[in-house]
Amino acid sequence: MSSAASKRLGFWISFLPPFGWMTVFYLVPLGALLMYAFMRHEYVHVIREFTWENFRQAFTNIGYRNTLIRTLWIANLVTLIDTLLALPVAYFLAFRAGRWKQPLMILVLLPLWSSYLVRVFAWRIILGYNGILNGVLVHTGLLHEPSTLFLYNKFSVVLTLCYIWLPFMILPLTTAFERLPVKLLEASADLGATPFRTLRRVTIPLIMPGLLAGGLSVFSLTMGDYITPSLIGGAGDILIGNLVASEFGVAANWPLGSAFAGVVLVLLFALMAGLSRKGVLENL
Amino acid sequence: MRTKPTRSWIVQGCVVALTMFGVTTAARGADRELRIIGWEGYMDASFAKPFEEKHHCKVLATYAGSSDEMYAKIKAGGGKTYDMVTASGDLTRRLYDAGLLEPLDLSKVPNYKHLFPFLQKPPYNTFGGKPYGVSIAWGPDLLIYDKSVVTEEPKSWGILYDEKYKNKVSVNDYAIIIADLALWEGGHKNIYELSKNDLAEIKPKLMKLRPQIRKFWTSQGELTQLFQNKEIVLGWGWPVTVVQLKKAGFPVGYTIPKEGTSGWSDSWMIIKGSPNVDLAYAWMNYMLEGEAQKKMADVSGYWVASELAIPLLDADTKKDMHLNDVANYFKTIKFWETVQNYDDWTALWNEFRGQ
Repeated sequence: MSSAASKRLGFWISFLPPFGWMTVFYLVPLGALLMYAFMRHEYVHVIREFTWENFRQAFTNIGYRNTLIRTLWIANLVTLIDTLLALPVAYFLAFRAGRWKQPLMILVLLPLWSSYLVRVFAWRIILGYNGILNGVLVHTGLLHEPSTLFLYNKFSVVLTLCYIWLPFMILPLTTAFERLPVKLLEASADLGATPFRTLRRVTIPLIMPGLLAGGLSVFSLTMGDYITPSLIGGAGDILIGNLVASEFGVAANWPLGSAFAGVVLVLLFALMAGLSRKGVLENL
Repeated sequence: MRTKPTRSWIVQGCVVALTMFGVTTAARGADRELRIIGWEGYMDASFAKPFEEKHHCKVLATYAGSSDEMYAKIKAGGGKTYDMVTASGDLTRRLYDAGLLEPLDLSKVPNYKHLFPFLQKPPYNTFGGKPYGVSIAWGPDLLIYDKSVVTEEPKSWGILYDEKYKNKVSVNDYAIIIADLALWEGGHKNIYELSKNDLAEIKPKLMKLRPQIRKFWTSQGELTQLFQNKEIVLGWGWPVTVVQLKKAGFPVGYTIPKEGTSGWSDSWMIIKGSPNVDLAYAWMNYMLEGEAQKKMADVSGYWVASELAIPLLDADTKKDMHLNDVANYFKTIKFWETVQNYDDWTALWNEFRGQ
């Protein structure tokens, strides 16, 4: 066998099994799901005729449209807050933590070993009317009576999501800081750049792939979440994930649920495609 | 030479796999499972246990927070996932129309004759002249309140709109409540037959309710907790919450305001394709016995359906359930019915939720 031919054979042998796996367990179900998005649900039947009706509803019904906008808004906010929180933490872990780095890293990761639900419920205990926060505020005399402002609203949803996804931002950022060649920072300083200019022109561009990778994780995890809003959110604080869950699990309207899922998929896919050009996927 | 061991390997593998399969099916035969999806309180251990012991089976309960949730889950799996459902009137016809039900042979339910007469072959579980369900229990949707805050018994459902109770109300995340708004508004011949126009008229009233609501509840246990944690003071709810709050010593009040109320009358139904039909019949019959009905009423607060239970109930409970004039009282409640244009209802409900 020539070496070119054996190389080609090697490619197909290593390519086909995972590709087959992905096709059967990922692409086919996804395709089936998206096909439903173009059908119609009526009473107890799915009517198999091509229609854009579900997408029309998804964008015209105020409830659906506002939920989509709210989801994007909250996902952006959570990503921004997590970025601001993670930057100093990651910097500290990479450059200043010294021998404390390992134990601190474990502390960052520790919550991920507990159940997601437990972590969400913990915030319910902290923020509730009879919760820890209200207890402290009333005890210290800062409040006369417990406040209902902490739980079951957008504030509690954003707070909990920020807490839950923070490790996914800290990890890639820490890695990015670790890879940062310190020599370049020194060179920048030697050439007379102010610390701020070094940060802007050298540090940030170099950690950008890590930053975007963390951002992509936090953003897409928020886009797909529906547990936190249903446990911690108030009457109107549902996300697009709740709509998908309720169309499949409650209304039995698979076509409309698939349309919502399709909208989220297209949004995230576009985001992913845009970011992959910047080398983000290698940093996930 | 090399093919032989390979082949014997395959044969051996098949034998092992077949034996394992055989063992697991045999094990399943010895300890059967009756899989029921339904409302909280209908499969409680206090009365499921004696049945399990007698019939050497396990009653596997899946609790759902709304008829819609039950429908979606049954539709997704059919008789492969569940043997029975506790269907309210808004679900029964939907299941029938979707072809998910097994018609019943009532001779296998000897206790059927002890059902209150108005619960025998009622329109919501009899289709095409054939019976598809056996009543379990029934009751009204209640206005539940925290007596320590709402000191006077509310006279009208309008209290849910009171400025004083802004962000202090909870209702079920369930589109059927649109019918309640139609009831409070008055003037509808059948609150479960609302045209697109009717829905458009109800919409502003629904939207006005939103700022009042702190949280939608999805299980009766959740509603109980919302009261206990002082998150809310008024709720649209069901008797399980009242029973749980009473047990916890919470100052709970409940009432049916002057506009009247909606309610539910639930039936056991067998899912088509269920492999445990005989066990399901035994269960339906057992659940009409006086003892089982009483225990069910004790844990859930749901109202009994079988005359056999009456001698076992105390005077207060009998008064609560209007048992002295039950046939007439039954007529005053607007029982849930299957809604034909339910997709329009859910669309309005989601607009209300996600606005």
